[in-house]
Amino acid sequence: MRKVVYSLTNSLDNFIARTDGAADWILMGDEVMDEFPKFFASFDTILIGRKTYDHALLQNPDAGQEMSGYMGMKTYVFSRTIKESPNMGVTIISDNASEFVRNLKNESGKDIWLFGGGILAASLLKERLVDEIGLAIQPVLLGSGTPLFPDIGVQVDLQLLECKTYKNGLVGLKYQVKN
Amino acid sequence: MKASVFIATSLDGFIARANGDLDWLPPGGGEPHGYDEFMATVDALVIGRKTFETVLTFDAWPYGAKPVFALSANTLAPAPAEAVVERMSGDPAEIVSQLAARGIRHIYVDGGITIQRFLQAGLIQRLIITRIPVLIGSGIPLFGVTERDIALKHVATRQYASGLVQSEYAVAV
Repeated sequence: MRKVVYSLTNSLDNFIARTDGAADWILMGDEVMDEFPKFFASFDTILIGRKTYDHALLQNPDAGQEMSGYMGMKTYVFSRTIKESPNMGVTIISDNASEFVRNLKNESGKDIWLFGGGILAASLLKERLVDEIGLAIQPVLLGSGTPLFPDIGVQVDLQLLECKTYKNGLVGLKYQVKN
Repeated sequence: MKASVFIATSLDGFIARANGDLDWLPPGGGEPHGYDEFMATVDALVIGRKTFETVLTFDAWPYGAKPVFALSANTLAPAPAEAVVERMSGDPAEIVSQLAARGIRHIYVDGGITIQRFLQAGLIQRLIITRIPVLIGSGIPLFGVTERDIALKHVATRQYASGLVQSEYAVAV
């Protein structure tokens, strides 16, 4: 079965964006960039919450014209409010998100990147549909912003798979979710 | 004077459940992860009233003869006979200058609100955070609202066999 992997970067106080969405606090660096090709190659499908999608569109004026989905992947945006996307590669899922993801996991293909945001991640974690969590922790406290893990409502036990440090101060952690 | 934080959090950033429960921590504090070594470098603890009251419910007083300064505007509940406890109140800068005047050089600041107040005041130099491999979903957060970014310098990250990950940061000045 395909894995759903919640993977992104966060501040030490577990925010994934500033309140205004700004990403100016995010360090990347060559060491991290060098890992991207292998990381991207492990996925062919991406799951995005509506707010994160709005932000990705706002940030990237070309994104709306793309024909092939976000970063060339099969892209599903979860929203009860929007019904269609100007991006022809994007499919909007408005009902039964967990049922949809459960079916998607049973299809053949590469792994599925749960891109965020936190609200979508929390609901899929609660439904026990997330298989791995990968975090690149930035050496900063933002004090406020969009939470990485909004109230999930349940306890989720994890097993550490990987722990890495980068020269620029990032800490990379990967956990398997014990569902 | 130097102030450090040494604390365990869930991966979702909580130090206790909403009701104060620590049942999600590994039993007996988990495998050794440097607590004794850290305590040996500390002259005194500065803890909030809630942490003080939580510690009073433990089977044994955990701080030995190490001086403990409990921050409270009101009289404290009685501590065990072997405990060295003194009540203090005031803002973090006042606490730090009073303790420094008494020759204390390294304090261990503990308790969610107390850590947040000292961080906000720019009076913490080192954070040692041990992540437990669990999401508890909700609870008392380690970090709170800050008025500005607090830049950190990553010092080291250590991985333990049971899945604990301990990261040490210096607060950039």
